[in-house]
Amino acid sequence: MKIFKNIKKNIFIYIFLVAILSVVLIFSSFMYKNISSVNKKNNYINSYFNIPNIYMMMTTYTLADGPYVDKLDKEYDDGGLYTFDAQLFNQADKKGIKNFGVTRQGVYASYSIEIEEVKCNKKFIQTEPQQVYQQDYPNLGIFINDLFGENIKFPIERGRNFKTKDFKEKEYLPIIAGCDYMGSFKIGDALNIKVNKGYMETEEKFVKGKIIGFLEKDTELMTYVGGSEIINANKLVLIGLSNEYKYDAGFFGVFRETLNGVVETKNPLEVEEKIMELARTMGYEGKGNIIKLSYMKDAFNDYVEFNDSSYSSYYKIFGISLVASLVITILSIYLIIRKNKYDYGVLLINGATKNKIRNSILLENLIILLIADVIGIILSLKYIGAISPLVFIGYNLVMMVIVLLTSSLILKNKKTIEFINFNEQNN
Amino acid sequence: MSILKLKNINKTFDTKSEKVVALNDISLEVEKGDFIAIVGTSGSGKTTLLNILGLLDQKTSGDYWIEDKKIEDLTEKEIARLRNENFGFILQNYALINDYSVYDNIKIPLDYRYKKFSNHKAGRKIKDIAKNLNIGEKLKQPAKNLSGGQKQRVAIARALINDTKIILADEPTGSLDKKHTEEILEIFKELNEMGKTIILITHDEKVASICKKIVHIEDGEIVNE
Ligand SMILES: Nc1ncnc2c1ncn2[C@@H]1O[C@H](COP(=O)(O)OP(=O)(O)O)[C@@H](O)[C@H]1O
Ligand SMILES: [Mg+2]
Repeated sequence: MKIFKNIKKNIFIYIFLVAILSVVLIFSSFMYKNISSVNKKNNYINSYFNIPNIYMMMTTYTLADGPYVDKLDKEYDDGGLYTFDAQLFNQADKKGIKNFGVTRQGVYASYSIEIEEVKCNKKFIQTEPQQVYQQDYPNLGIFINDLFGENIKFPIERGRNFKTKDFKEKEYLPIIAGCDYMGSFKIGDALNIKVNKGYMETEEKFVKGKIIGFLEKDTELMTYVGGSEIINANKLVLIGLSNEYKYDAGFFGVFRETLNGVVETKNPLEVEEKIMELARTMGYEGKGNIIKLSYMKDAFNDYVEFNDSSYSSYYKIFGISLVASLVITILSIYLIIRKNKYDYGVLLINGATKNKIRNSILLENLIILLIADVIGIILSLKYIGAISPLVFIGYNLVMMVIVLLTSSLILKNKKTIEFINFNEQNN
Repeated sequence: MSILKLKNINKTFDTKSEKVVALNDISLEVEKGDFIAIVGTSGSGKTTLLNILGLLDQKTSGDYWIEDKKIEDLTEKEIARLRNENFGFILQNYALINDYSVYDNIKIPLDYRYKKFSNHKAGRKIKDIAKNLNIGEKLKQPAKNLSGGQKQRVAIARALINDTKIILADEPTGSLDKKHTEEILEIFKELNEMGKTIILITHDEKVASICKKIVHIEDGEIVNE
């Protein structure tokens, strides 16, 4: 058979087939990229947020602590103000809401720390600073508060994770260092840390820290000052803060992204209601948005749950498109055999076997699959930035088996005489 | 020795509603160089007989020999090879692949030959035959662009390309006007004179009259010879 002539003859069926096959392949790359980053434990923090459109769909109001909310600092507190965090809630200044949280945002956005002195006589060398948060402030350290430190298990190469008691220790702050420091420090080393608060405060502080563990190589963390950023933690040190530094811990704020939500009420029992009411007046409800009020300690689980359910919808769509591609392939083979019945009949009376015809169908579809592969690979690399070779190969194999089985089955069930029933076809 | 031999051939079709007896106890011998017309009304079983002769369909019972080879229990591959090596088919609606060029259409039997020809040899053969049949100028054209008479010449060229001894023709002039019918029948005559064995199926007594031998078939039975 003249393969290319035949492809040309059935060009519309084949274009459609190429389209659906490459869509499935591109989709598989998308799934692969996201699922692998979810599964990679180093990435688990960033996985909450790496599908922006899903993230946008949920507005979560988290209460900082305790049965209701954190009170603001005394200096701001008039006895009736409560703060809360909202993942999408950045418009507190509208609607006449007092915007107390901004100062804190400013503070935590501008921390920089340097490690001044290393006990144990090893010199600390500051390499190229990470400049992922804000251009002007080289950052070596991330402060972690007790809530956060307890909830998150960082991937540890050596030593251990934070424990509750670490945050109660007054003398030394617990430090988990990036893996790049493993050569220079060991567990138990004490560090003298200089803290510059460059933005709102000029005063310099010194705190002491002690290394309790090292992060795994290429651990990635998520920060979102000035937009979400994934940072490599190899050169970072994570510093657990005792309660007195609590508010400074917002830097690495999975929960403490914005502190600008404030409601005013004299009755603490009304706080939840007030927050929800505010959210509604801000127009965050409806249009696919979900409003949820949860306590900070539960927010973590809420995100995981929400994202899991979002992923399951991706699985569903992927599954459906996979099945659709199988069905369409089977259908197109059926249509092509039906359309080519006369031509196959001509070949059969001249000495072809049904096997030979099946092989030519196989070859045609192999070419179609290859075209879909090329398109899939190029577009995946361009727009998704990842491909899963295993999925590609697996999908190709499955499709070839499907083509083989379908074409064999259809041809086997048709007698030679049915192909060459030319008169029936013409009349 | 006869080149084809049928003995007590029966063929029934099992349709959903009934059993159709298409051929009833057909016995027939074809000698080398024969030019036989099988004549009968529509539905009398002519095509069914040709299909069985050409190994396109299987008999229900009876015996069939091609030369001295008994056709029994063959694989699809063996049947295809026998068909390719023994028969050239010429059918009423030409049985051409419309999207192929005339050249490619004529070449089809060579593509499925057991012993392949070189492209060069195949090309020379195709050009020679096409020239003799007055379609030498059309080789590059797609088959669909040809007139009915030209299409049937292409089909004849294809039936000849593999040098088979037997030509099976099912209403070869059924779609042609008088002038082209005469032209095609003239070609058949010449081919027979050159030694080809021809079995020609027709419902048209006039067409049959050019053949050396006429077999009448009625309701699946041969009525006289
Ligand atoms: N595939 C088939 N299934 C059922 N009946 C068939 C089939 N092919 C032919 N027949 C029947 O067999 C008889 C002979 O048909 P056919 O050989 O095509 O006649 P002819 O070629 O002489 O017009 C007819 O009655 C026809 O309906
Ligand atoms: Mg007929």
